[in-house]
Amino acid sequence: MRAHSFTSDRIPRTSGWPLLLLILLLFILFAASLELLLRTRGLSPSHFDVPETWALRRIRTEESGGGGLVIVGSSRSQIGIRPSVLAPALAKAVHQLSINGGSPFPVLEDFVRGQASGFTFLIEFAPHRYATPDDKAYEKARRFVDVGRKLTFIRRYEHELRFVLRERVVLLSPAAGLRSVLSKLGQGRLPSPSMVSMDGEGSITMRRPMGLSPEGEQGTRRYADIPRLPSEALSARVEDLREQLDLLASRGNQVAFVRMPVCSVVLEDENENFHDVWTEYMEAIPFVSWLELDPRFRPECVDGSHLTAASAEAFTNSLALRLESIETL
Amino acid sequence: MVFNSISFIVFFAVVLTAHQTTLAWPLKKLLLTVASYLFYAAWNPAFVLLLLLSSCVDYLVGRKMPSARPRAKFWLLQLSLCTNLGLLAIFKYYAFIQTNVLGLMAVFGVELAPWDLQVDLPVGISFYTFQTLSYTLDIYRGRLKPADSFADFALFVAFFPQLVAGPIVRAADFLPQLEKPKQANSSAFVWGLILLVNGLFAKVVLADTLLAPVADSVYGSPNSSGLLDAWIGTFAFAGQIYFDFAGYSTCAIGVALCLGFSLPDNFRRPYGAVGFSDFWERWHVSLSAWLRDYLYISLGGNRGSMGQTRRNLMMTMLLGGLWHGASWTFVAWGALHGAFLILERWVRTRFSPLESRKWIGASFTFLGVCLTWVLFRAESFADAWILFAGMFGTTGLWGGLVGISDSVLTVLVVGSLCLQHFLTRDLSAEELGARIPRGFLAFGVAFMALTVLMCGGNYRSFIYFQF
Repeated sequence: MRAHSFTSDRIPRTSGWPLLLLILLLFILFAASLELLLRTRGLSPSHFDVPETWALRRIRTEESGGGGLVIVGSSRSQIGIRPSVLAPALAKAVHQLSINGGSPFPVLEDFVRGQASGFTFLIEFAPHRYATPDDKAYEKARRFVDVGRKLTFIRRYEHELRFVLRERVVLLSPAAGLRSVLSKLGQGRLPSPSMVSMDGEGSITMRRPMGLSPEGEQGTRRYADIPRLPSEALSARVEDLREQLDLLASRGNQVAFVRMPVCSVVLEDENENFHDVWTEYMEAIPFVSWLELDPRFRPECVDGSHLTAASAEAFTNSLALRLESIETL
Repeated sequence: MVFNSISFIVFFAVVLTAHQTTLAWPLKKLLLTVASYLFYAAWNPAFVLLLLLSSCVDYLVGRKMPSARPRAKFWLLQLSLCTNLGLLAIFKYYAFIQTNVLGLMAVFGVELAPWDLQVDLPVGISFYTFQTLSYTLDIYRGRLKPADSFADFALFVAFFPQLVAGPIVRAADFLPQLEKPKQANSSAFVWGLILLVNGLFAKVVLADTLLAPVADSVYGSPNSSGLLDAWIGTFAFAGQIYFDFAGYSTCAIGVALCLGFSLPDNFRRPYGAVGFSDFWERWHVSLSAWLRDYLYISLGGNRGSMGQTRRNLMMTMLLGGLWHGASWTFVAWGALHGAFLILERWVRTRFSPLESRKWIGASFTFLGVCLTWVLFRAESFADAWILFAGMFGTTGLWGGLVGISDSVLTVLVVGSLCLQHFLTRDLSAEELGARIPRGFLAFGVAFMALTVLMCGGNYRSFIYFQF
């Protein structure tokens, strides 16, 4: 029963090189046409938000040797804090290590275990991440951290190559993914710029604001119903956090927490349900609240928790001014 | 390093270039061996030692065996079996064995503390241990003469195209290919590349991008599935696992062909099978042939009574199931296949409805195979029972897990796959390739390459890497 597939004496007779040339020409023609079509539709290169891309940025951060600012948070920071604005204002490298839908704790623990020194850590403070079990977000961030720890030389090299290509070719961006294109074609449309795109720094741009009704737009996550940690557990968590911050500080790092701007119902949720978290528990931890940065700043959100591009830029500018005097935090 | 990676393209280009040079054949073989070890080391360099251990033991056993006395020969065979099966037991089945032993002891009131052994599963261990075992068993049975050099044997075990997920190659097929210099002619080289693109298209586009999300959404929330969700999710998985695994095998065959080597077929349009015995002559052929030659026949095959044949069939399928994964769901998957095979034998002895209406037989076989895939894919028996209940309509018609567009896409892709398998079930891969007009072939390959590029964001491993 043992048969061979494509043994050299049974290969269909083909004039090999002309066929290969034809395939290559057609491939180049298809790829170039699609790339051109996508560019004329306004699409630009974008990255995938996957653990390997994050892990690469994590490694690069460590290898930068310190002195830079490291942002640790979730999508709120990925969207709301622009490294491209912050870096020139602070005149230092800014490393965006926020994880969409992830808790900052595993990332912080990873830095505490590592050898990083001389960094300034800017850690997103979203009260529900601290005062609720939030297991899903913790697990997600831990998965990213694990991938970073297990990134072998070959895998790193692989993702470096992908990174370089994604910076340049629209065809490789998530918006040009086959599923996305098929779904658009199914609706009788051609691909158009996606609402969300990620740059090489890990920052996400939301292109089209959705607006927010007082009741909350569909898709807006409400935090009022999430079960709270018992007060002892919350105290223990904050105590752990303080120990980690001490360890980081002992290696010459600085740490500041930042409460990210939110809008409408989400702001109400935070104020009503989590007010005690920053008045009671976060005491003695370096802390910046967006409410105290610039009284003229009125955040505009796409869905309650995430800033529009204009608001993100304005917020980052105010934050930069505050961070210039971080020693006084 | 997986075939659907840029690192592999770079690696392959370097190996191919070196292979095309005018170096002496022994040097080229050495180069291929080193490249294969580097390929394997890309996952976890430490596990290269296991590969080397398995190769050394079986090479030495193979060299000693022909001149050994029967008793010594027997013990040499035991040494090979203990080494290879021991590696599997430690690295693949340790946690499974421990859990079951502790559970069993607990039933008798003996509480034992678990001994935690934190080991990762070495990729491809089930494949290369079976490959080296077949070498020793063939020498033991007098069907094969030992490899002339360790270098040749090491290349046979580690040959990178098929190292981590098959096809499981027999020494009798591969070692003779190392005797004379191998280099692909232009036709073989281009067909090799075509097969590589075809395999990548199956894996990256069809399995990962189109079908996996549908299967994942149903098997990730089985409690919410209705009749249609359960069937669509299972059809999607049936397509996913075929495209994933057959895609890998096609890539492996294509890569080997570019280097001038030929590897055995691993899939022969299995969803066109009429009956379960026919299915196992078409699905993962290199494994089913291995199980048949070294397990089923060793147990007595069909030489005894009907009862003994049934027992042998069931034992072979149970162990085949366990080979796939250290979980009782895989054993149950094997058991269900064994039960279907026994049932089919019983039916065939009384009447032969499958031969007269092949399409009916093929349809029933496909549906039966889909039922077995539930056990293969479900995370637990509880999930599997819920999905079985859903498939038989006890949880409502529609659970909303799969959208209409995904349902249509799944039915279209998997339906076309089944139809193509049925219509071409008697054609060989070469005959099928020869029938495609060259212009259409060039257009198709270029299109497939483009779609592979567009799906480059996926990072799914090949399913069979875990086995």
